[in-house]
Formats: sequence, structure tokens, C-alpha cells
Amino acid sequence: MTQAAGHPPSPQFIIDGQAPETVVYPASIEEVSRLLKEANEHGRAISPVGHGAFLHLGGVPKRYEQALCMTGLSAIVDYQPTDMTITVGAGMSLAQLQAILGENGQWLPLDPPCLERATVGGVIAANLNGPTRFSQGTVRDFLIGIKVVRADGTLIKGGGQVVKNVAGYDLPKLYCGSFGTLGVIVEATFMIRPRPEAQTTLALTFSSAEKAGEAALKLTGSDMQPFFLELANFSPLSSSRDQQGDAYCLFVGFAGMQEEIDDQRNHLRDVVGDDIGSIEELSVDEAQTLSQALRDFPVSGPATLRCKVSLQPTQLATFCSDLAAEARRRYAPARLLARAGNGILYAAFEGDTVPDDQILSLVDWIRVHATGSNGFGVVEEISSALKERANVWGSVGKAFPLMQRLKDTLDPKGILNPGRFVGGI
Amino acid sequence: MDQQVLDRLYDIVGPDGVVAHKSARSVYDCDGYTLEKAVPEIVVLPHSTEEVAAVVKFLNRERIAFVPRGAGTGLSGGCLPVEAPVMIGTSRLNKIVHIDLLNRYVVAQSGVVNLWVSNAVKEQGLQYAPDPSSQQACTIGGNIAENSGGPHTLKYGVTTNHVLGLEVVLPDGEIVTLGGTVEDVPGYDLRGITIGAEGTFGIVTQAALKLTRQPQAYRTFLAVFESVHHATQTVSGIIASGIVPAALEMMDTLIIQAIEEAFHFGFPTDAGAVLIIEIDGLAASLDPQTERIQAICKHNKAREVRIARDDAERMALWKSRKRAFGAIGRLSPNYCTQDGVVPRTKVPDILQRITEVSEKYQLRIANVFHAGDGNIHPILMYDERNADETRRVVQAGKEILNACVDLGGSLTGEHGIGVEKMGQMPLIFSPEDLMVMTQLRSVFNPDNLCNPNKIIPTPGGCIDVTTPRRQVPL
Repeated sequence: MTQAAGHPPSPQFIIDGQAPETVVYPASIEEVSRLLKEANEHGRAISPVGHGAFLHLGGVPKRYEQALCMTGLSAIVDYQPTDMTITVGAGMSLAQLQAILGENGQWLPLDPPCLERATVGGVIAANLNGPTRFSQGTVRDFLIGIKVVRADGTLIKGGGQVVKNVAGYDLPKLYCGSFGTLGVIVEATFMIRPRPEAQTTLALTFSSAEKAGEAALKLTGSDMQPFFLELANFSPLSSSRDQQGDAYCLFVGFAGMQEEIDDQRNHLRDVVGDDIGSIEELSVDEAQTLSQALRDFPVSGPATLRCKVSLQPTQLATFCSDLAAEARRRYAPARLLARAGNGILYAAFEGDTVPDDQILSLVDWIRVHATGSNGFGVVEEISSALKERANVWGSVGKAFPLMQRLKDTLDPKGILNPGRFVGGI
Repeated sequence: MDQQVLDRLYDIVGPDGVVAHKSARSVYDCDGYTLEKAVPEIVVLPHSTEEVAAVVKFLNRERIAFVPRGAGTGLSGGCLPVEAPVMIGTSRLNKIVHIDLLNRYVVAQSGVVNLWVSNAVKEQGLQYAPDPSSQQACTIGGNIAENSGGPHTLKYGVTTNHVLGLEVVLPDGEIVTLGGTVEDVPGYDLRGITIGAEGTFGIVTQAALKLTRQPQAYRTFLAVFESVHHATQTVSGIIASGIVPAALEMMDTLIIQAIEEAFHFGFPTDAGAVLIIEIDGLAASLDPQTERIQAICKHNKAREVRIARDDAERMALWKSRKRAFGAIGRLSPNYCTQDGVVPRTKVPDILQRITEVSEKYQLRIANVFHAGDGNIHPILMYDERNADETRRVVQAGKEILNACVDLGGSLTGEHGIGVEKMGQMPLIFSPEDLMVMTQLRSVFNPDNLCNPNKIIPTPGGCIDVTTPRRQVPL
């Protein structure tokens, strides 16, 4: 299960240009446990890796000696369709999981980027999600049980197999977004939901970010229950990638029973008002293309810089138009996509020739403007050379000492993904 | 209590912030779990986060243990002062600090009553979704400590799904913010692990809570069955049909009779079981779901399916359900409520086991529970003046929880471990699991001064309550 020495590791395992000395492929929880125990004894820095689709996230590894490839742990451990729960190995891909659930008309209501390459463990560790977080929530809302191997090789669990459970501390929450720094997730139990019976998507255009933002707020303030609500300064459906002036699109998904979809579609115009460019219901094919593009946006296409910004929904529109202007000034055209109901903005900046200090000043601009209103800006992609100066996670404030203590408690030798999380954890 | 300590506490919170007299303190000797009682040596009621921090900082320096308390409606002894002389009550932290309607969140102090939040935004068509049955009294801080649920959590989730951020006074007196007012905050989800920590990680003084739109329409059914079996089959049928009801509650004969006697809603007192089924959402979606639900009920031999005619009838139905525990007072001087969980499909099995336990221990047990998520609430009736019966109640309760664990479930769905179920933690958690929990507690609460002797059993010293430990004469 260890890759023979001398072979260059596949690009799947490269993090910020660093290749691990070895790649190991555990096939069971026991093997993960044994490998971690060994690594811990030798103080060997280890990074859990799935298909490597999200390794651009996070800080530069302080050390990276061993990659722990988790894709071998991909079994269905337990699936009870009538209880609406499923337990699977952490190496299973989201696509595989959704296919299994789909056979019973069910799904895990999460639509992160790269379904084929996103693993269950990765989705939990990096807190990955997609457009439907607006109506469905994020992974912490569905993860009801977890098994984790601690840095010293000890297997622990939290939560259980039932949908409602407050026995003991809520370990599943702790591991959501913990970025592989507190233990290696080996198994997860989710509560699942019936798949919506039908679905439709409407594309609305507006002459400005403010008008699009206004419409989004009217929608979230109404009785409507959009499945997703995405605001963008481009359309993934049009062939040209260039923005049409200041035009913004709003993509509104409805899902559920046909009756409720029809009802909402028919009332959409009344709710958003007349200050609108166009409104169009997409064909099934277009809707599929669009939903994949919205889902994959945080990782697709070339970008010199990608950021995720967390704001209040009411701040999004102004933030978008100001940011687009700032980016234009730096000749780094911005593609902006926001989960309008959640206040989450994904910004991708192009322009290969933009000088480093201009890129860093964009990061600064984002941070200053986000934190000014209690928001946060995280750099999701930037050249490895700039990561440290960009401080990819930003500051987490007064809670940091607690986080450091937590890390030191669960991984005292600092062997798990060292350097890649907040504050150099 | 040492006079110097008392003086210092008076200095911090002022004379109206201290409850020192014995008779006044005795009110604080238990929560809704009344099998064990202990009177705190002093109760302080700080008026602000800063006062909480000053009190805690002082107690930390003096190495005096303390226990936080909200409204005392908990059901597992979470705020019982066990070797903790000082109780810190949040009742004066009772202000809603900020309401943001467009961004749909509220910032409330931890002593704010659950229902006040929904009431504050009702006119604007919003609500705070978690609705524990005690929502007219229980506080936001207590809800956060226990990660409280309620009937509508089946669709809307529990407390943790609706909290954006917390302001916490750590056990050393530091004030920190965990999470925030936006959705994605970088770093570990310390908010997530603090919610449900039963007050052992610090004292929550303020929280940012998500608001949810009120549904456009509701439909509430009362389905009457000859037997519990048919009712549980119906529950499984509805879940399997792809409908996600807002609530799916079951009540058995004993509780129906008690409630009917108390509230005169018109429940059929000869029924074997009734289900309260509620769907909500867009009006357009309710008719097709109604047809499906009626068909499933009929298929499972429902004697009758009533639909609440209007909002008044709906409210009356929910009032009866949420006050079910109170109605038990008509049947028995004391009762103890359990809170086990089983996988939804195992509800018939656990009900069978409860019947067996009832016969074995010669106890009356009524059942009213959240059938949709397998969260049972058997109510064990007893008279605390009868020592033998009290002992049998403790044993029977344990046996029911053991059965839940055997069926793949958990010890508690929403009431917490507290002191009540500490001894049973090893049934579901290995020594390694309990060790990591102890270590997590030490990260926040290194000297275990904040709400000691809760949740995690002390290794070796297995806590085994067979009779009440510290029953205090009132």
C-alpha cells in the first residue's frame, strides 16, 4: 500500500509545488490507524488526500512528508433508506454517494464543486458546498456521526446513527471545516432527504448589481422558497466570457412538487418587480449546464486569484460593483458569483500579467471592506509564492488561542497538515 | 460561603444581583429533572456580559466552581449545582440587542426567552424556528447549552442549525466571539462544539440567531388509530413517501386521556394512539401532500383523520401537545421523562420494550414523542414519597435507554446528558471517545470550574444513581 520509493508521485498529491516523500494507500480504518501511529512516533508530517481536487486551498505546508490517499475507504457501511441515514467511508466520492442514494429517490442535499473528485472526507474537512446551501444548508447540517483517527492513531467517534442526538460533545461539527488538522476522517453518517420531484431554473438579467441585489432581497423577503439564488456578473450560458458592461444575472432555481414550482414561477415577476432586463425559463439542458457551472465555479477556469468573501446578503451588490471596479483598475477582470441569499461571494480574477503587489492589494481591499462590516475574506487560490504574504485565511481574532490549544491537544506533535490552516496551524 | 467572597460578588453585581437568603436560593435546587436536588450556596444574577466576565474571573482566581443557569426548564439536571457553590443565572441578560430583518438574524442576550424572539419578528413574517415545548419559559442560553429541539425540528433542524455566532465568557473570564453574524467564518467551528456542551465550555452571554420565514400556509392533521402499531406504520409510510412533514408527533392512550381531561380539545379518549401531522410551506404544495397523507393514514386503518379548520384550532392542538407534560400532573404526583432516540423504523420495537418495562417494574408509562425523528419521551409516573417506586423509576428509565442503544440509537435526543445519564455514557462511547471529550473540555475549561460533574463520567468512579443523592427538604 506504500508507493514504491523512487517513483515521482502523481500530480494528485502535489501541494504548493511540494511532493510528498511517500504516498500511502490505506484500505481500512485499522491501516489508517497504524499509519498515523507510525507517523506520529516519527514526527512525520502527513496530509490526508482524496482525489486532490482542492489542494490549492489553504496555506503552504510547513512540512509534507507523506500523503495519505483516502480513496480506498469508499465502502457503504450502512444504508437504511427508510431511516433516511447512510454511513460511508470517507474516501467515497460525492458522485458515487449521490448515485447510490438516487436509486431510492434520495440525496445528500449538498452540491459542491467537482462531484466526481470531491470525497466525503474532503467535503467535511473543507466544508464544501454549492448553490443549494441556500435552501438546504451546509455539511454541518447533515453530518450526524463521524469516525476519526487521531494523530496518535486512536480511533474516536462522535454523534451516532440517529437523526437527533445530543449525547456528548458535538464532534461532527468540530470536524466540519477543520481542514484535516485535527484528525483523519475515516467514516461519516449523514441524514439524507428525498430528492425533489421536479426542478426548474429561471435566468433574470439586470442593468446593475444593485438592481439584481434588490431583486434577490425581495425574493428572500417573500413567501417564495427558491432552491438556489445566484447572483453573477457573467452568464455561464453565453459563449463570451466578457461581461456586458455592468449587467448582472440572477439565477433562481425552484424545486419540489410540480404544483409549487408552477406557483412560484408564475409569481416570480410580481415579486421581483419591473426593474428587470429579461426573464427566461431555461430548458432542461441549459439548466443542467448552468447548475454544473454554478457548482464548479469556485474551481473552474484560469485565475490569478480566487477569493471567498462572507458578508451580509444586503452588502453583496454594492460590494460586487465596487470590487469589479477595483479589479478593472488593476487590469484583473473579475468574475463574480454570489450565493445571494447566504451572503457568500466567490470572486475569480484573471489577467496573468498583473503584478504581484496589485494582486496583494486586491486581497487587502477585499479584507478591509469585508471585515469593516463583520465579514471575512479568504484567499482560495493564489500563487504559492504569494500565499504567506496574502495570509490566505485572514485573521480569526480573539478565538485564535482556543483554536491553537485545540490543535495542540489533538495533534501535539503537529503532524497533520502542518501550516495549512488559520494562523499557521 | 466565605464572607469575603460574598462581599466581592456584591461589589460586582450589586445588591439586586445576589440571591443569598436560604429560602430564596432553594428555588434554584433543581431544574425539570427533579430526582436530584442541591441548593447553591449563592446565586448571582449579572446584568451584563461584563458583569458575568468579572464574576467568572474572580471565581477562577479563587478556584471556586460555578454553574450557569437559564430558566431551569432543563430535563437532565444540567444546571444542578454539584460541588459548585456559585450559580450564575442569566435572567437579567434579557434583551434583544439587534434585529436585522433583511439579513434575517437577531442578536439576543442569553437570558431572552425562546418565544420572545419569534414574537419580536412575527409581524414581519419571520420566526426563530427551534420550538422546544417549554418555549414560553426556556431561554436562548439554555437552548444553546442543550442544543434543544422541539416538534418542528423534523423539518427545520435543532438549535445548532440556527445559531450563527456566540459571545461566550470562558471559564477564565475572557470574553470571546465564536462564529459571527455572517455564514462562513474561517477557523474551527468552536460555535458548533460549544452548542450542546451543556454549559461546560463557558457561559454564553449573547447569540446571533438565524431567522426563518414563516411558512405561507400550514395544514395540521389529527389522525386517530386503534393501536400504536398502526400509528407507527403511518409514520414510516409518510417518511418513505418523500414528504418531509414539519412535525410528526405521536401520543398514546394514557397521555391522550390526561390531555383531554386538562384541555378539552376533543381528543378521542378511547383511541390507541393519535398522530399530529403538520405540513407547511407554499399553499400550492399542501393539497397534493394532503391527499397522500390521507391515503397513507387510511391504508394504515386510521379511524379518523381530522384537519384543523383554522389557525385557532391549530394553535389549540399544539397547545395541548406542548403542555402534555403538565397534564401528567393529573395522573401522578411526580414523573420522570426520558429522551431516548432510535432509528425511525425502530419506533415500534422501542414502544414494545417500553410496555415490557412498564409491566416489569409495575409503573405507569405514558408516551408522547417526536415520532418523525425517532425521539421518544416516555413519561414514567411515580410518587416520590414512595422510596421503592422512586428506585424502580430510576431502574426502568435506564432500561429503556439501554434498549434505545441496543436498537442503534442514543441516550438523548434533545434533553442532554446532564447528571442524569452520565453513568450510561459508556454504553455509546468508548473510553477513547470519552477521553477526547475530556480533552476538549480542558481546552475551554482547563480547571473544570465551569459546571463540573456533568456529561462525562469520572473514570473509575462510575456514577450510579439508584436513589436520589441530594434530596433537599423544601
